[in-house]
Amino acid sequence: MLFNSIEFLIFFITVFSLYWFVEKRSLSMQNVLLLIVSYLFYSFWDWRFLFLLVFSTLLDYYSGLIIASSKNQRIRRIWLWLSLGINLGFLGVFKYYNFFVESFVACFESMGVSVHPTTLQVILPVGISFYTFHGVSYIVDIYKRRIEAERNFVEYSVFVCYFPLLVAGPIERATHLLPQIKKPRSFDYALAVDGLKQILWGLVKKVIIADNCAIYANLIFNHASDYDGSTLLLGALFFTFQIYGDFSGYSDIALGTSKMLGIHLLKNFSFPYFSQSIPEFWRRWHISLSSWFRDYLYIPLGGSMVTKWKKIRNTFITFIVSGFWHGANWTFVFWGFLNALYMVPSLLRSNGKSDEKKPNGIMRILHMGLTFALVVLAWIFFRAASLGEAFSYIARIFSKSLLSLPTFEGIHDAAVVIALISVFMLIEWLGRHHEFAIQRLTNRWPRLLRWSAYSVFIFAVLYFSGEQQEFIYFQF
Amino acid sequence: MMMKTFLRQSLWFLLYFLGISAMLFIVGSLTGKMDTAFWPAPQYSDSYSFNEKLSFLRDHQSKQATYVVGSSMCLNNFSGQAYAQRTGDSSLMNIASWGLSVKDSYLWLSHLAQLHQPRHVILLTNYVDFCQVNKQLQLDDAISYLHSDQALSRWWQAIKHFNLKYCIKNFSYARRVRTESASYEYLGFDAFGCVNLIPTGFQVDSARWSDDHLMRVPLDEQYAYFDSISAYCFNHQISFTCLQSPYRAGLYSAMSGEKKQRLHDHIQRIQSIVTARGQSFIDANNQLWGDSLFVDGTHLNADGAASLTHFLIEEREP
Repeated sequence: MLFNSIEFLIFFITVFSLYWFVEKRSLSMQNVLLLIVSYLFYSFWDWRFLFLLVFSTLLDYYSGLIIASSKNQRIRRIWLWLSLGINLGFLGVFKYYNFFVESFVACFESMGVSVHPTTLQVILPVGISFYTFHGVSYIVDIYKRRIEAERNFVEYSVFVCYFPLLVAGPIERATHLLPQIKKPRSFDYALAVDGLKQILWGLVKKVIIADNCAIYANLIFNHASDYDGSTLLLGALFFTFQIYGDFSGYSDIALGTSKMLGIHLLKNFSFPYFSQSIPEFWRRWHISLSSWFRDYLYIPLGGSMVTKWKKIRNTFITFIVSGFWHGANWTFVFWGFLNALYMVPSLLRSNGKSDEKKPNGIMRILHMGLTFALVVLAWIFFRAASLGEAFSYIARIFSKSLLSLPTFEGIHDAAVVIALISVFMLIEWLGRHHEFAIQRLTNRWPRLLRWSAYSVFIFAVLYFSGEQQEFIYFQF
Repeated sequence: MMMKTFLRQSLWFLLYFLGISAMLFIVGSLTGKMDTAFWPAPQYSDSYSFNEKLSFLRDHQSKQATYVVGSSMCLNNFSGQAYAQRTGDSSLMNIASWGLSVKDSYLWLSHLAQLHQPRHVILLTNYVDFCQVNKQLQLDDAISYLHSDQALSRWWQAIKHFNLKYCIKNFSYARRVRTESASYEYLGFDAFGCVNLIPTGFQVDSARWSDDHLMRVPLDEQYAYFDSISAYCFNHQISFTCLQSPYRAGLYSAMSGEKKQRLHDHIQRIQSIVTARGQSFIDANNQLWGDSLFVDGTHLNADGAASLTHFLIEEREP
């Protein structure tokens, strides 16, 4: 059930009505309802993996209770590693088993040894990377005594599988979400309206920007050898806006949906393409994942409180693992490595203080442009089917044909998409100081004008909603 | 209280939005951009012809004893009327539409046949069907659309497949394909789902007139699906006839040796698949078909379609 589908609209209207109806009865009924509809939502994807989700929830729930109540450090450690091992084991089997097997086979074959191992014919359970990280952060936080274990199973389960964030995040923390689940929630008009606006903007990003860019990004990336440098560069730009529209659009819909139910989720994007440096980009892109890796990998490795070279080592480890989290392919690993490489100059320059000087005027635009160019280059690795393809794609961009005019089938329709991207980025720029671009943009407008603007967005979404494309991050 | 305000405001906005939509629709109708008489067929594929055929089948009895299957080779080159007159059997439906590959035809036929269990299948095909890129057909939804009698289900399908861009784009196109009979794009189906092109006043395209598609490369996948059609009919005790559509005499006679060889190899390949299961294969190129029977290199006009259908019946009779 995609967020941009009619099925989800009906599902959510039903949930919204029931949710605020039972609010008058009790908080526990509201939470039971959230749990039921979350499982129902998940079962629309593949009900068979519901068992895995329930098992993972039960495991972390009991592990959390035991770790919290035990005074014996050995028992605490055993349960920590048991929980982490099983959680990450599932992730490893479903997501990475075939990758490792195939990589070993390729490695042996390069040495002239032929091996025939068994690969698994399984599909990746939707959202496993996200709910596994929920569980892992919860268990680690209890082990580190940052939080208390949750005793109410329903409330803990809602934390793990709350439907707006179940399949593609944001990756929540128990410290942020659990208190909201435990607290009585009453309907807040302003928050609900804000949520509706965020959903609308998310749909604009997904349906108008991402899905239209996807047509040309797919065309160009899938037939890269047929095109010249300028067309390939355009293809990379289309993918750059596709992935932003797709994932931040998804996040906006998730956050907006949740606001309508009175729950704030962690912000996941903050206008990343206006960043003036790579470190700033990573503070603005997929924030919930970046901060997760910072807190549960980078800092435990020593973080920034170590020598410069160890800091660089920690950065590389974090980015490479983060790349690998995205998918079982060397392209993602390299994408992580490349981003770590981008961070090196600022790591070498930094003196331990976080007072990055912000450039002004023309320099600001130059920094923004350079950061954007580096990000586009990295996305080529993210999108390409293999490392070889990515390198040859880049090599073809940086050839003489870069100076020619782009040519591909449907270039006139693509010009319309470029115009749409321009308008979209202009609105994003105007609203960049808020949580999402249109949050405050129309607040001072007269009601009819404001409603007309929303109507235009709705018409545009309906107009472009013909060919639904799945959200990119669902595959992770 | 806050909830009441929220619901009231939402309702007002909804009314405002519907009001604007109605105004836009009125403006569209007055300027001739939208015509409710030519509302485009609901979108169940990326082929407008298939969508239009589905809409036709929705309004007609699609459960028939004989299905005629294929691409435009079948849609235009088979005459349901001639078949019914000659055989006295009018339990027939042409389920073909433009540009369907052999794979598309197999999937479409097998979905429909599961429901209706036809007794005979006629596949009218040509070389070009084996070179086509497959269409994106949403067949499960298409089948529910065809067979949902409940109003709720029908509304659900209509909402689920509503596409504003497609509708706006196709208002004038729907009018054109349903009314302009002297065009290749004409989709005025007769009672059997056939579109037989009237030669009077037909605007012949010179490029199409001399196009035989024989320099295109057929795909192995399509031969595999051709085999699947034959196997499906065989396994379900459905009599299967494959008719190789003819080329215009002027085109066929002037064909190079290489092209003739390609065509020969193709015919040999599909004939061997069909005859291996004891099913019938008829090659219409065993005789020459006058240019006056065609609207281009491979598509017949109404007279040509009637002649080919008679030929099929004669050849099929023991």
